[in-house]
Amino acid sequence: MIVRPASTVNQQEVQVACVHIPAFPLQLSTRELPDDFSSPIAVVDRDNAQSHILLVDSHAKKRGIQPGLRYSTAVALCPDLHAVVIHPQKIESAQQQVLSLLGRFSPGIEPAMELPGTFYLDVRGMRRFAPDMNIWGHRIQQALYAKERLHTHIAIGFTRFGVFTVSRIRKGITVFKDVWTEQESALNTPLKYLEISQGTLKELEKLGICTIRNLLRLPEWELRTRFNEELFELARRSKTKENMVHGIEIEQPFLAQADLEYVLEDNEQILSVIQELCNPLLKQLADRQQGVKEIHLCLKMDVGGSYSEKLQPAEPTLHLPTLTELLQLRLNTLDLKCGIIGITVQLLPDALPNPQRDLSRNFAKTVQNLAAADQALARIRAEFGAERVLRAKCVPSHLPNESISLEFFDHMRNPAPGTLKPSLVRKILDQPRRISTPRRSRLNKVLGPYTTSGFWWRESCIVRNDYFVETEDGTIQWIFYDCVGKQWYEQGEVQ
Amino acid sequence: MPGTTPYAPLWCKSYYSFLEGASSPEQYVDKAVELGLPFIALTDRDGVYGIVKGHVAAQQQNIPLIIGSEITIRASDGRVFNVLLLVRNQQGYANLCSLITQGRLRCEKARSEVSVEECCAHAQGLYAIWLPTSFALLDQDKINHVIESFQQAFSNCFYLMVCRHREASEPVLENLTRTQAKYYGLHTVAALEVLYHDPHQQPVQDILSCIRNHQTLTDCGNHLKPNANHALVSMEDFSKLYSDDLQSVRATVEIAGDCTFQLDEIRYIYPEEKYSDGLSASETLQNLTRRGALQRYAGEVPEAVAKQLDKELQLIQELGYSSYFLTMHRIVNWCEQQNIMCQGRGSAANSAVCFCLGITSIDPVQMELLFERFLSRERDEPPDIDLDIEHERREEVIQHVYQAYGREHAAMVATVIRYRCRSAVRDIGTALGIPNASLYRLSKQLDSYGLLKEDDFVRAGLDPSLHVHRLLINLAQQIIDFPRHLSIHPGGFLFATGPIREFVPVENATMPNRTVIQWEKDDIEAMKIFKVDLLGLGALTQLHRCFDLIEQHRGHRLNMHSLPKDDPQVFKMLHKADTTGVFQIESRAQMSMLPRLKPNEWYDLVVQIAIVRPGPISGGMVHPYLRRRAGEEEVIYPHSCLIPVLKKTLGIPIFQEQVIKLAMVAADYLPGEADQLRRDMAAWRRTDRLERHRGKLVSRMIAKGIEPEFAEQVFDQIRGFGEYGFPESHSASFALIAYVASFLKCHYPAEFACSLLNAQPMGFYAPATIIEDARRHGVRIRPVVVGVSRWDCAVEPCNESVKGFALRIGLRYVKGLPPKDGMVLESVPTRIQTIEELARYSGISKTSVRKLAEAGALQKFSTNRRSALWGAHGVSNRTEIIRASDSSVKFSELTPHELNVWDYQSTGVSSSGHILCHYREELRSRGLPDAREVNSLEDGTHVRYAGIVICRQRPASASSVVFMTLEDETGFVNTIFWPRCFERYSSMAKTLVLLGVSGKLQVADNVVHLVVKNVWDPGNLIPWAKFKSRDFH
Repeated sequence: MIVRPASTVNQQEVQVACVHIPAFPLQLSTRELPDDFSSPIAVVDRDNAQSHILLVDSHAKKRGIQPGLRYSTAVALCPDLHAVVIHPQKIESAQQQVLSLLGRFSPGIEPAMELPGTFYLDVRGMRRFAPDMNIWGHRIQQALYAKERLHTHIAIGFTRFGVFTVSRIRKGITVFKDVWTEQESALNTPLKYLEISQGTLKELEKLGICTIRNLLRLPEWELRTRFNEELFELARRSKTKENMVHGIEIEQPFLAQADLEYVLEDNEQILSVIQELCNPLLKQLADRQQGVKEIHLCLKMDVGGSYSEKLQPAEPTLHLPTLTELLQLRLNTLDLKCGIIGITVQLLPDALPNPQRDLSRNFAKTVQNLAAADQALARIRAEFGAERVLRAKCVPSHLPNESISLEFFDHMRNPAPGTLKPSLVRKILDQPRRISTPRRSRLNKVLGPYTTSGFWWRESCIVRNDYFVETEDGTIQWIFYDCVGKQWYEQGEVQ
Repeated sequence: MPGTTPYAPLWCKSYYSFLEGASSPEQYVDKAVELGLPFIALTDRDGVYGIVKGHVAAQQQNIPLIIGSEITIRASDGRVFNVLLLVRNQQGYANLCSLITQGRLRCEKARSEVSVEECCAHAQGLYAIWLPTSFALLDQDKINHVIESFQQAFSNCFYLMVCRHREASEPVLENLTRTQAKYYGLHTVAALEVLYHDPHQQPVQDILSCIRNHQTLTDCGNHLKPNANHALVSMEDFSKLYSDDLQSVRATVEIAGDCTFQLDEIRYIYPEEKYSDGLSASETLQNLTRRGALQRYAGEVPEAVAKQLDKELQLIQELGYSSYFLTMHRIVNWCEQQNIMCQGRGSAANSAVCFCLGITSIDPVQMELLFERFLSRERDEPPDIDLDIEHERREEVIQHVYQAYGREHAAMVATVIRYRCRSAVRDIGTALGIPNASLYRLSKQLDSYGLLKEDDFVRAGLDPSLHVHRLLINLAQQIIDFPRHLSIHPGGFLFATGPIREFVPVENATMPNRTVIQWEKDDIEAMKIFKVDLLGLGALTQLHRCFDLIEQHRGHRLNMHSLPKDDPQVFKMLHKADTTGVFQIESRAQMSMLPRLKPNEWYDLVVQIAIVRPGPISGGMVHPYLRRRAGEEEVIYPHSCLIPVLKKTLGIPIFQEQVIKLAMVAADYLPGEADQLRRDMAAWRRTDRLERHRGKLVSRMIAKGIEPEFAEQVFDQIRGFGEYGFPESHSASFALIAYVASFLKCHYPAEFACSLLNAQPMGFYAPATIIEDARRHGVRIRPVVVGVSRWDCAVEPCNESVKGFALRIGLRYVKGLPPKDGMVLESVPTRIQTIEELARYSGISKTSVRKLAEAGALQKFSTNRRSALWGAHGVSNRTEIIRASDSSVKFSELTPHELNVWDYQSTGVSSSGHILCHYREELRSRGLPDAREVNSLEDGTHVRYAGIVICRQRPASASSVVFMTLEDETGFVNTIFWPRCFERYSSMAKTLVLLGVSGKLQVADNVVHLVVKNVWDPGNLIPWAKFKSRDFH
């Protein structure tokens, strides 16, 4: 007969909670599917027939698919089994969202190392705010489902190991009244729920070791020598009463908002409010030795709706006049035709530039002030939009106009000497311009046709004949005939 | 045509340029004829893979084929460029093949590179044409050097090519070409890089480019050709394109006119076999044959045999094939000397000469086999001998042949791996950017030889209406049969007197020490070149091992020919279909036929093996034959002239030879026509080729007085044969092995099972089933034990076992145990008493010790397997040992059924009985009979049964009917699932290892089938059944 120790009979103050999002990657993928999607799904480690299945949904489970199978084997059993690969970035991003949300419920949150979807929450003293921890747990569950569409299991108790193990085997909310009950539950936890590697788990099963209790029968040190560090660590953790949550700091956005009681119509006034909003944020950034990489501006309009804009200085800065100048340029080009009743400013931080870098950047090339060029471009972007300053780059494509792509760039660079060869300069129109059929008599010279046909894999294929023609006034035009649409176009000019 | 200048397309790459050209050589020939072109060239990249097919098509269409190749050259600065070489004469052809061989043999498979100097050294008899793209690939200095070298080597046979595909980059290259031509005083020649016969093939070519470059269409960029101007064009269009330079157009015809070489100029000479006594090959063959005949017939050669030998030898001499037979004799002799079992099969068994030379084991005279099926004057076709060799030792024979004849004179034949539906879906889908997992799922829905359909997408959970999926359907259909890569024929060897590299290029195969020619089997046949097939056969390995075991333990040596041919016990065993593990007659279909056919003599086995084939089954020949054999149906012949043809098989055509003879006798087919019929039957996937015989056959038979109904029936039978039928000689060769295997199974069950286990992988059944079968026959099975077991399974004296020998499972069955560790463990001394000592003594890895512990092979050191496993975990991968034993930890003993499961998981077999024997009482209490009881029930009985699934089959000829064989400790139960039933229970039927079925028994001629109505999971009866493992078998 097992006798409960007398000291644990009275209700004790809970210390720690564990929020477990079961099959976290699977939940991330299924929440994006349409509601009527009913095919079985498996999360695999890579997009390949030989990939291993990591997780399966209930449909797949019913059809006999188990994690650990190869996808090729699983398809033999379940021909319509859909495979999804979850990118680590996606998991990381979702993890951050959950962390941010959990921050509302506890001052200390610690994501479990290498176990995405598991979080420890510090609940010491929490009973003062939430007398019923069940209700507190339910709120977390509801919030996570409402905001992230994620199902969770939560265990609230006394030791990290206890709540960790129990959150894996019990659905819903479990609140322990005493350490003893928690420990008993933890010891009975089957090892297969504890993210132990499949190989180790199989070996333990062969020895008849299926629960934590069984595992603790084995000499602790032997686990390290005969198996691995992972198992030794598990056994060690199961014996400790550790309950500390090493909470991480959750980064809050540098955001300021002004709901105005009056309507602003003048740009100067708007700018003044923005400056007021920015000032404290810039101080916070200065304390962290960071600068503004990007400003997100959102203007709430009196006629309903809002207008959003992003602006980038030439480099991260704390210099308010520089930012103000960019904002002013942008506002001056806006024609809102309405009043503003609310302003939100968010500053995206980044490390301030190293002065040494500027030194080296302009040291050799004294003729060209690259920093000034960057600032000039930043002003142009602010005034006319970021998409107005792009750089041409050759890309492999067999469509002539697609062999040059336009890309955004951060900083001006000096041209590398010797790489430039004298060549014709092509001015390419953003969109080809429709023209009338060119008359041969008005052309001095015609080169072509150069035929391009392809892109048959798109909904509409392309067949075009390109020509370079010299007109009577000596201009060299790049024109083409669209053989599908039966129309002439001007693509650009050659100088 | 007025206003046009004739031209010859000199640069055409077919789909034999592997993932580059998008049309076949035949399509080029047909299109050239359609366009009225005077010539057509075939210039595949670094090879002449397609020229035989092109040559055959060009001959049929009467258009000259120019042979050439686009050669990859590495310049001295390491840059790679290409040059086009065209063959002018026979010397040029030999030079081209030698050059390609040189380039191929120095590179890994699928690549080739030669130097400028090598190319120039092979200039004689060749035209060299400089490709304009080379200007963009080389530096000016290098260009000058290479052009000067080529000009010097090729003299006035060196041209510079001008290309106009209407690409923006071409004018610059053309200017450079013309400048160089002027500077060096060279001529230019006009050409297009032809990659397909018709512009509509552009998407296919684009897809091939993506596959070749391992890129998707969206990423492939300028690896794709900019436009569709890579097709064959008419003379008018070509003239228009080069209207400003007609001299370059005329040059194409001048070059083509000078390329007079045609492939039929190649004179293939089989190497003369020389013997030391100075006799000619023909005389030597005669002597060896006569000597062999005296041995075969114990000194008295029957008159019929002597006559047949005379006839055959005369024809062989007349056709000049003596050396070929001597080669085969040499190979067989060598195998005999090396104690390697081998036996000729196929049509060679129709030859008395082959029989007397020891190449085959069937007496064709006694069996009245048709020699003309093997060799005939009218057919004018070289003989083709297939030799089966023990599969484990075939490589020795192959390397011996290379050594004996030299790599200059012997090479293996290629096989072109072509796109089938599944591979097409995988490769095209990847190029279209479809996820791999979706493609895999889709490909699993497809038949190997079927086409991709919308239904397949639906079954794979994909939307067929998506644009990308529609593209996939369309392209996959177009790419079927396109060559994908070159592989090696299973055993085809080619011999030549002169260097092989002078009439076909030789290249490296993937396997080390193998070289392969650039032509496949059909090309060899078309070129009338001799081929020898050296094939691996597992059954011969098994028989050899079995004979060795018998000699080792019983002291007498048996061989294939020393066994009595009419052993009644063997035939009694066959009547009961007790043939698990017996070559050719162990499949479920064969087993079902045995109790019906009831073979009473060896020839019945010949029929048995031939009749259970798709051909006779779909031709409707099986049941009439069985009825006639059982005396339930009168043996009638549609015409008296057919009696000699069909007498042996009771009026029903069963063998391929009979179908040929039938066409000759009943429809007056000439030998040439009959041979064409045979070829068309062989090409059974192209049903249209057989269909064209229908009218001719049926009308001629009717004219001969055969009832129209029977005439149609005969044609249907022939068509059925097209799906796959056996020649009598082939069946006879196999029947011999099958009989010997049956004899050994009947009289030496332990040795038979042991040899079968040691010859794995082979045959139809998993080792577990072979062991269970041996156990049912009274053979004691002993477990694998370190210190007792050898690497191979062995037989051990045992009074309790049937015939006095038990079977000891070998270490080779411990899964994951490397052979080198196994070999060390064969000699563990008795002083070794602990796992630590074993590990220290043997030096085997920790993993190996663990595998042994799981398999129960360490029972000498620890009777508890869990303790042994704990100990094994204590063995370090380093040489020192860490407390392997630890008595402080106690582990529970495994239960009997757990022991069974561990056995199967760790070795795939078990010495402790069938897994279901532990549950028999439980099953019986629930009213579930065992297999023996089921097989003794009457027709129509409703039965519930639970057994282990050992085989699931869905034969193509069975209209989606699924056959499953279930097994328990008493035998097999054969089940039939109609399609609807299988679909309904497919999840359970596909996944459960232990399956419960209910249904009605069908019993006829002692053959029992359970027609399944319901499937259920016996997991609620037997807890173990919940344990699902794919490793079980």
